[in-house]
Order: sequence, then structure tokens, then C-alpha cells
Amino acid sequence: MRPVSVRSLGRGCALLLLAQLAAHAPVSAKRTQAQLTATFKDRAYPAGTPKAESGCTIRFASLVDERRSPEMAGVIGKRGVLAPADSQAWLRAVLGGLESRGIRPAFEAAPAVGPAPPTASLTLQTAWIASTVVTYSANVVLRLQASAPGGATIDRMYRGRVSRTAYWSGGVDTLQSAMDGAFADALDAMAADLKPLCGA
Amino acid sequence: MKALLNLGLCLVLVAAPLGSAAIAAPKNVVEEPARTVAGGRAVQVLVAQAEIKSDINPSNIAVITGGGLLGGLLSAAQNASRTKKAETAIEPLRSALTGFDADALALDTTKTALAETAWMQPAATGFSKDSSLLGKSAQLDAATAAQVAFIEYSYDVSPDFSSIRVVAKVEFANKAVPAAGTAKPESRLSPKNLAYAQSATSIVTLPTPGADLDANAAMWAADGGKVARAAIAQGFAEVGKLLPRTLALTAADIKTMSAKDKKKGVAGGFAGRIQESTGAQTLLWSGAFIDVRPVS
Repeated sequence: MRPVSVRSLGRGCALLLLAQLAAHAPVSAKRTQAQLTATFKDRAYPAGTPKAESGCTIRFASLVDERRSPEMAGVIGKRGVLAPADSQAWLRAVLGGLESRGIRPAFEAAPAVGPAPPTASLTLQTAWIASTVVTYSANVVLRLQASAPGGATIDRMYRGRVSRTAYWSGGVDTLQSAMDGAFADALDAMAADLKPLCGA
Repeated sequence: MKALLNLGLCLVLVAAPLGSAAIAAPKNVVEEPARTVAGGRAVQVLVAQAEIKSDINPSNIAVITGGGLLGGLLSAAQNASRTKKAETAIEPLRSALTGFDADALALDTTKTALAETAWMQPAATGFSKDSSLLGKSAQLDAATAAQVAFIEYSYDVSPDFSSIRVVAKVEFANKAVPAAGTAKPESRLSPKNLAYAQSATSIVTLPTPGADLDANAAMWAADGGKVARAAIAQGFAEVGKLLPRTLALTAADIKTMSAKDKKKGVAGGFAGRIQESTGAQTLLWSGAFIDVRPVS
């Protein structure tokens, strides 16, 4: 067995200390605020998952942000998580996730000719990331009100939730990924409800 | 020998809990001369959450294994698993509480509590969800008063979901930056620079908690969250009663409440010296007031 040198012991100790420090100092210890972007990255589906056809168009007539402090999306330790400043752009990006679930969201005015697509309005009620020890939990609550020309309607709340373990990599990417995951959760249920509206 | 000494030092450093660094304790009483502030005192109500929070009992694997990286990783994995379980269990309760306005309760509680403290008449009252260090520092910058009383409320369920807890954390911070020019503005909020820091806690328990977390979650969530709504409202109301008592405390009061003639006890999962105990209600002192009672 090779004798342990003072230098290698010191190096090992330094690495252990760094790891220990990092494990105890996730995103909360940083001095700057964490800024989320008005983007949406859908969850990765396993290879071979059939892609849903975006055959059905739903026109979103209004996107409303009802959060009390729309500038905030969480406080982790002593660090704030800032929501995207442009909530309209954020919600459009999120709704873009409906495409891979078989629904094409449209934000422009209804066409003057041809059958009018079902219309909807979306309200963002909650988008918040909380932390428990080294785990971040993102929660979103969306209210969808939709109606088809045939008379079918939806008025429902959709919840999405995702927890991510930060370990020492807990930067803004982990927070953004948690928030995106929560939205993806809500979109799954929303798309399932919207599909029957297309045939109504 | 040198290697052994280094190994010993390394183990001590790695195993040492990093969070236990000695921190200067802030003042936990507002003495008579500090009650009135030249330039006035503003109040900022903070509720840094959008919905009721869950909580877990943190893993102690790291302690059992003597600290270090492996213990840290195992502990993180166990904490993550517990968080996921608690977040799943709390979902029906959050759905049942949709539309429940705890922010308004926080504002009302503050108004009621401060009305009973003559010297705490605020120059202005604001509300924010940003309780971060930089957020509070910015709120200090924006204040027109010389001091800001931050009253931060939080509400959550206990790890076993047997109780709902409402906590009000009070901090007085001065607008002026200490040692201006050299200190960072956020240093105004460091414990040693706070003019005052205290808290008050209300724990509202289920009258007959179930066997596990899921059973308790179902009781809180039943009937549109009727019991949970009552418990949160009751928790805020109790905190509203404790705040004026907390603000009025003197060093002598604290000495009396901490004296050995006050029996030690445990209620609602918290330990402290029993100040009042009437039937199912218990008021503990553990450096701060903790009121425990069943939902009514």
C-alpha cells in the first residue's frame, strides 16, 4: 500500500471541503437574483415516442396574468427568483408546448372566412418555486376557459408540479427546468381536454 | 505524524456543520429608547409564497455517517424523496385552497396587531413577495422612513400534516448603510446590523390527527379545504395576538419567561418553557412565543 503523502491528503481534503461547501451552498447563497426567461423547454420524451399531429387550432383570445407580484417567481433562501418581465411572451412560449400535444395555439385574430376555431382564454394564477433543503419545487396553476362554435365549453384549473434536486449544480438552469416541467405537467391535462373541443 | 495531524484537521473541517458559524445575535427586544425612530418607521409586509408550503424532517444520514461527501449525497437523496412525497400529498390541499387569499390575511393581521402597539404606528405600509436579501435592500432604498419593520409571514403544514403553522418574523432594519462607503447595502439586513429581530409562531393542530400524512392531508382538504381555511385564519389571528405581546417584551420579561421555575414542555412538535396551558392550548417560550392549539 502506497503511503499517503501530506500533499495528496491536503488535496483530497480541499476537494472534500469544496464539495461540502457546494452541497450546503446551492443557489440560495448567491448574491444576485435568479432571472427566469420567457421561454419554454418541453420535457424530453423517450426516443420513439410518436409525435402528436398539430391538426387542431385553438385561438387564444386573451392571456391574463393574475399573480399578485408578477415580478417574483420564488425566493430560495435569501435569493429571489425573478419571473420573466414579459408575461405575455412567457405564456405564449408555454402554450407553444401544446403543439407537441396535438393542439396548435393561435394568437392572431380569427380568420374572416372559413370556420372559426374554438377560442380560449388563459389565466396564470400561480408560478412559484419553493425550496426544501436542497430540493426545488415549482408549482403552476393555470385557468383555461374555452368554447367551441358548437357550444362545448371548458372552464377548469390546471396544476403542474415538478421537484428538482439541486445538489451543487443548482443554478438558474435548474430553476428554469423546474418551472418548465411544472408547465409541461399542466399542458398534458390541458391538451387532453382541448382535443374534444376541436371535433365539437 | 504530520500526515496524521493533517488528516485529523481535515476530518474536523469536513465534518463540521457549516451552518453553525458564530453569528452575532440581533437584538430581540425593542428597548424604550429604540421604540421611536427619528425619521419614522415604515412597515413592509412580506409573504414569500404563492400557496401553502410543505415541510419535511431533514435527513440526519449525514450526521450518522459522520458528515463528508457521501453522507451529504445520501442525505440530499433522502431529503429529495421526502420533499416529493410531501409535495404530492399537499396537492389536494392546494387545490382545495384555490382562491384563498393569505396575502390579505397577512395585511389584516399586521394592521390589527400594530393597532395595539402605540409606538409602532407606521409612516407607510407596503406589501411584497420578495423577501430576498436584495429585494429587502431595495425596499429599504425605496423607503422614505429612516427604518423599515419587515414583517414576514409564512404558513405551511408540518412534516406529518398534523398541523398548520403560521409564523411571523419581525425585523427592524435601518435605511442608513453602516460604515457608508465601505459596507454593501445588503449588510443593513445582516443579523448584527438589524435593530431588532423576533418571531411569533402559531401551530393549529387537527383535533384527532390520522395515522399518516395522507390521512391528515385528506382531513385538511375535505369539503373545499374547510378545516384548512379555518386553521390558517386561526393561525394568522393567533399570530396577530402574539405580535403586540412580542413587541412589548423587555429583557426582564424574557428573563422571567426563561427562568427555571417555568416547566419545560413539548407541544405541536416544539419544545420550550410553558408560559400558559389551558386545556388543549399551550403557549411556549423558546426564544420566541409558540402558541399551540387545535383548530376550532
